Amino acid sequence: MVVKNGGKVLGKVRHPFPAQDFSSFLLQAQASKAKIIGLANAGADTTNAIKQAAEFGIVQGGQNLAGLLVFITDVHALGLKTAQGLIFTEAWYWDANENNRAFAKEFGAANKGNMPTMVQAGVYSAVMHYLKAVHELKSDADGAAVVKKMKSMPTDDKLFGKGSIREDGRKIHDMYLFEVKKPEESKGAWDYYKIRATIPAAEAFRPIDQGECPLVKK
Amino acid sequence: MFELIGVPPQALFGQLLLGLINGAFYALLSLGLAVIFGLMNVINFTHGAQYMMGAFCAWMLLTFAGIPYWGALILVPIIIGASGILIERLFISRLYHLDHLYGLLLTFGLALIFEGLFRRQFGSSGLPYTNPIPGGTNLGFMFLPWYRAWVVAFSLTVCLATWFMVEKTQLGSYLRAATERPDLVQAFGINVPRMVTLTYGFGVGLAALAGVLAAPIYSVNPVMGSNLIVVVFAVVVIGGMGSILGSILTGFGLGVVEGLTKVFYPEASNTVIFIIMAIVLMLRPQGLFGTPK
Repeated sequence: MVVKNGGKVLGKVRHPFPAQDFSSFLLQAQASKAKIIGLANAGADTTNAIKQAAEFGIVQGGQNLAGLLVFITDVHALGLKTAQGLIFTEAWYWDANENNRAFAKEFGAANKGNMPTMVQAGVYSAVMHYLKAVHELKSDADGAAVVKKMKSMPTDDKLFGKGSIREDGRKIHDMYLFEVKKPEESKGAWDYYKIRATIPAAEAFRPIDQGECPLVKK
Repeated sequence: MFELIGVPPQALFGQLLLGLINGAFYALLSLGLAVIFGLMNVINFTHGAQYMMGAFCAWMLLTFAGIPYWGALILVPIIIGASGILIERLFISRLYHLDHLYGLLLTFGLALIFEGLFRRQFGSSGLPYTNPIPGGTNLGFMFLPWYRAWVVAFSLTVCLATWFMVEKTQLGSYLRAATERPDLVQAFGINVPRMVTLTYGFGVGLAALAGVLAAPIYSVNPVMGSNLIVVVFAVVVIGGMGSILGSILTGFGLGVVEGLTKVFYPEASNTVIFIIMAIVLMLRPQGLFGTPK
């Protein structure tokens, strides 16, 4: 993917899962002088890696971190001072438009003020679509029939707008490239992201003919 | 020579230094465990949870009382050590006459309870804690953060002070005697149950101290202890369950071994400690520095 888009891969290292201390791996990445260090991990491993990268002065040294699976709750756990400059893609941001903000407000009221991530928004969207499909079929007894209905109906909900589900079961929607704001750029709690680019749905997901899904008839 | 292995000497020295720093953590944690086991014969599985509570307590002191890191270094071991004393008085002291395994089960259960409570209250993403000594120095072969240098220096000091206190002072000699023949020592007029309680509190305080040290560099989340505790147990077993010097030396040594593995075969860096433990147990079951029973 990187090479296809004109980049160069300067190195890679596999760390044990889970891992507490990333100092030796970060040291290797720092020594490689790569402009971007990609973190293909998630959860506590990602937050630990980012925290320790800040400790080793990696971002100050001019290298940027790119997270491959980062949620807004991770950024909240790190704090803007540590996470600033982190680049990653997410499918949904609570502060992007009025619909999202309204949903987030209700969610926050029921969840100690925590904002929803793209996962919670996705679950909402998926459940709404499932219920609509069951409503059209007038029964939920046959699971396979419901799935077929869900794939044939276009999706439309207040959080993701219009979209569709592909034959291989993937829901297609735009993805957004976000960067974490610096502390002085943030105007309040949970105001963490600035959008750098929108990746249109058609480009964001692997084309159906390049996958090896057994559900897709070739 | 180094070029043959495919690793430049700078990278190697950098990783060795990092291994030493990680070893300092292992040494501090395994010291608390070795003190508790060596002097009380209790296998304290709650150690990881107490390490986690130390980190959370530091965060709470900072967030709710405005007490910075340096104050937390002194207060947190006392607070969590006191909670340890409470646990010992209420629960653990009732199991001394039974097999080791009951103590293990009880402390394991307590660890699960504490972690569950904290996860319910704080979630599992973790909490932010700022580094009190940011920045570092470029040593040429690597960038050494000031905070990590502080961790090594402080852990080494605490480990050596503990070893000195247990092996070379009169109080330490009472503790060691009380482990071997508590009835005789009590006959001499020394309050053995109180010493045992304070020993447990001290071991727990050491775990909490390690937690405070970890808060700025590791993510402060409810499961931070359970990841580390398994490795720490391996360190204590390799060093010899009752030997304090053994656990200190093994802690640092294994940190270095882990660091070297990360250079040559990073995927195995979690497992190498357990491979060494298996070998040591087969060849010398009492551990490298332990005394055969």
